[in-house]
Amino acid sequence: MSRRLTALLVLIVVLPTGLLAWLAIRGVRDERGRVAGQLRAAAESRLADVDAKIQRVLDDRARLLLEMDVLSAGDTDGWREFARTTPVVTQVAVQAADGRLLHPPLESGLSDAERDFLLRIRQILVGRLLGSQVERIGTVDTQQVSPPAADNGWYAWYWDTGLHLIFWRRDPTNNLIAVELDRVRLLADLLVELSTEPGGAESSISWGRIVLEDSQGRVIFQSGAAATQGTPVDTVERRLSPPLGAWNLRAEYWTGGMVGALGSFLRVAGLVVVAAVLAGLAFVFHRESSRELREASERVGFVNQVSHELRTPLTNIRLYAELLQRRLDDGDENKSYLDIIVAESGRLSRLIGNVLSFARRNRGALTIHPVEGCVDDTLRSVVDQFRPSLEGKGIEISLDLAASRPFRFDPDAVEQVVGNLLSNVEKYAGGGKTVEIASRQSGMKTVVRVADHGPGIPAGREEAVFEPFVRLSDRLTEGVSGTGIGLAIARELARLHGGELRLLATEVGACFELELPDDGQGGSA
Amino acid sequence: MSEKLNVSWVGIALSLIVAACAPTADASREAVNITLSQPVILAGAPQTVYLKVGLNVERERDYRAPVNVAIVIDRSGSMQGEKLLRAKEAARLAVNRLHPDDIVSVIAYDDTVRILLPATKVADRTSVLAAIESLQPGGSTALFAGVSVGAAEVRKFLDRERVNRVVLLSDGLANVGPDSPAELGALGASLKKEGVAVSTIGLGLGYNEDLMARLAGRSDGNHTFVEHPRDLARIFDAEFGDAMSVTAQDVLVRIECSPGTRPVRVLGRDAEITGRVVTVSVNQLYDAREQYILIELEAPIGVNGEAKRLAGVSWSYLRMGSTPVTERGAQWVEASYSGDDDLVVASEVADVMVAVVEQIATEQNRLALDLRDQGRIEEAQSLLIMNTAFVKDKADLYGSQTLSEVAMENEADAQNIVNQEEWNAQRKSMKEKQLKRSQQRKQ
Repeated sequence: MSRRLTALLVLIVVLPTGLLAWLAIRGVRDERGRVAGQLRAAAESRLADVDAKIQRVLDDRARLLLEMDVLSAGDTDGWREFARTTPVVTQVAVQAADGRLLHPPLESGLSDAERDFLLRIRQILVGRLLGSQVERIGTVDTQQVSPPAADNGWYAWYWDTGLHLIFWRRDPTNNLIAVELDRVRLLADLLVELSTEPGGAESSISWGRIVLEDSQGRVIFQSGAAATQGTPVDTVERRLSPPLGAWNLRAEYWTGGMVGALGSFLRVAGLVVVAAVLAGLAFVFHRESSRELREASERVGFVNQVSHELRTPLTNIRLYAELLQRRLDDGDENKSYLDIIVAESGRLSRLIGNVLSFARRNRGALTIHPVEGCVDDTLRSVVDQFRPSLEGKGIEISLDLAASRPFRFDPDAVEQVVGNLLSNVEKYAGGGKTVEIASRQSGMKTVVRVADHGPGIPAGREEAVFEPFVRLSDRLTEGVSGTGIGLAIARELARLHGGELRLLATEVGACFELELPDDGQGGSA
Repeated sequence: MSEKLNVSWVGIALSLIVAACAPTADASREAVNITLSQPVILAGAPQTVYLKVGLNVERERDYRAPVNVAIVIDRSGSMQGEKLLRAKEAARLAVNRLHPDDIVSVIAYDDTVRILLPATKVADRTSVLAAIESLQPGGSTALFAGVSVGAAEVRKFLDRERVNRVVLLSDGLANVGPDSPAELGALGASLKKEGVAVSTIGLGLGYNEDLMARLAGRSDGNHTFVEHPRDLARIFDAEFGDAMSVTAQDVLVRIECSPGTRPVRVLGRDAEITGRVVTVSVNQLYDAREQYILIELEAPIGVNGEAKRLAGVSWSYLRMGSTPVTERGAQWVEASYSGDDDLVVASEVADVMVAVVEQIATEQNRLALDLRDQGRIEEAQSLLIMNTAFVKDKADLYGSQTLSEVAMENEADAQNIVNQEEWNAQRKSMKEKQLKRSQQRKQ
């Protein structure tokens, strides 16, 4: 009983806590997913911002080059001065519509830088790639300048240290002017633009960092701090828009942010509180219910203590009362008093017997002592003991005994079992009119049935009645005293015989069946 | 046909320029001194001569050009401790020398760049000093980004009438962003076009001297190797003093050789040679320190007694002063031919020859360093010993104090270059001296 209750209470605590924990974990996971999605979106939009910013730098540069004074194609000194004094430019080449090179002037001596420049863009010039295969920026505002938008654009190509940009445009006479941007200077200006954005480098520190890599995977720029060891990091990548499409932009952001950790902490704390409250309630409940059990048990314990002392005087009282009973005539008025004394002392000794048996059972020392005998004799003797009190309550006894074959059993035990059953009938089935006691023998077993027509046992409690100290706590037990161990002891005694005491399903009242094996072996140590 | 036309065009242009500059001609002539190593050339064979263009613009009395300086400080983890403390102190002292009208910005970088103080007038000195004080050590070394942002701060107040400069202090290798000497050199060259010089101060033994020297060299800034942090204050002081003694900027010198004369090379510095035209730009000139340019020419064959115009030199620069003026000038370079060897030798101009020997010795010193880098230590040493002997010889010949110093430096290098343990410091010291010598600024 106690173990089951404890298990139940543990379940009451564990189940809701577990359920809550599961929900919480799912919630955390969902929130992680949501937060991760938000972070990802934020990182992506940041990368888009950076890309747009880089495009603006290129647009500005394109605009600068479109607004420059158009020098005449053959103005070698002019072009040289332009290249020498324009910080963002390294070299300029001018190619006529027919493919002839107008600047730098091949025939009149080139500087080393010009020679290197022509060598590295030779393919572009020879293949006349400018103005045809170009990656175009769509956002250059060209309304203010004379050449139409289709007449300028970017050309990206690789040599030596990586991606280089040429801005090309056509002059009014359809010459192609190719301006090589200073790659390093472009990097420097991009860096400045990216690292001095308002709150840019600073604010990104709190969530991760942005890394810009060139076509060879070298880091050109980074803002924000690298994640510390152990911080979970997610990355989003983006190719820059043309003409810098070979550059890769990457955001590395932390996913195990403060918010998630706090959320998890709150959830865990909540779970702990819920579990604690439930456990506290369970403990109180357990203590309350176990107190009843404990009190009953203590009561039995006490009775047990005194029972030993009571038994001897009680036996004497019964003995002499019965002697006296035989001497008196039936008509004697005093005999009815004596009958009551005998019945009550019998009841008291059953009670004491039960208590002592229970104490033994608890010590594991309950035993039976089978002897060869006829069970019907024992039944008659018990019924005789109960007859006066049962009849006094208007209950008629119907005997149907057919187990005269002798076998080995403990008559005292059987008497105790049947006595407990009849005692219950006496206590609870007062309105039942009859109690039927029947015995049968078939094959290897003897069966005794005690059936009343009382209120019976409520459905679902058929097994509970055999638990010690369980009394069906409704009107049935009102005003009825008892120890609550009678049926438990009875079943124990039946089982010690190798038999069973069970409650049979009936439409009316209660019908207990005591089954005893009669192979002559019914006994145990 | 076209050559003739060209020559006459140069002549006309030169005379026009000279005429236009007539009122200030005296000042220009003093400021720019054009000398041939041998005004008398041996007749009968092609000859190599050196042309020296000396620039020396004096400071206007009681005037100091306002400066626009970005102090860029490496705050990578390795700067922690004394280095950063000394750097702060040095920057503080330097800022205290500035006038309220000067502009300063403070930039710190590690993995990323932080502008501690955007470009601002020094009038609010407390906030400048507070920005310097807020320097904290951090992570890696994004040197390229640091310089870029420093230059951007200078650019906010970019003005040809100010001395525009980035002062970079670093003790480590650039490890975030572009990190090759070539790339940093290219950045320096681009900044020079805008008139921004980058002075680099390498602290300790952990920085890349090739990168720092190249960045300074190509932008016409200074490069200093500071082995111990306690010297930082002195170096910052010198650097700021240098910036404050600028007398002219935006210097452009153009040498157009006459037909028959061939420009072979420009010694020790970046220059553009296209055909017969040599163009050299110099970021700034300093007070009382002659800045010179040396061009090696191949003179045409001449006959005894003949005089030839070898080249026309034209120049322009912005003279700093209460009213800044762009000065322009032009001058022919003439030489006479003689069959008399003695006459030729006697005509040798010691000042030019000393400069030439100094540059050649510096080239040899560079070569020795390259050999040493390849592990050819003994060859490097013997080259330096030969170089020492060569310079000593010339020092005696011309009685030159400068060359004596160069000889002593090479002698010391020859000894130290074999020392494995001290090589790092030695290499940094050699790089520093090589750049100083090739910047052709007289002390």
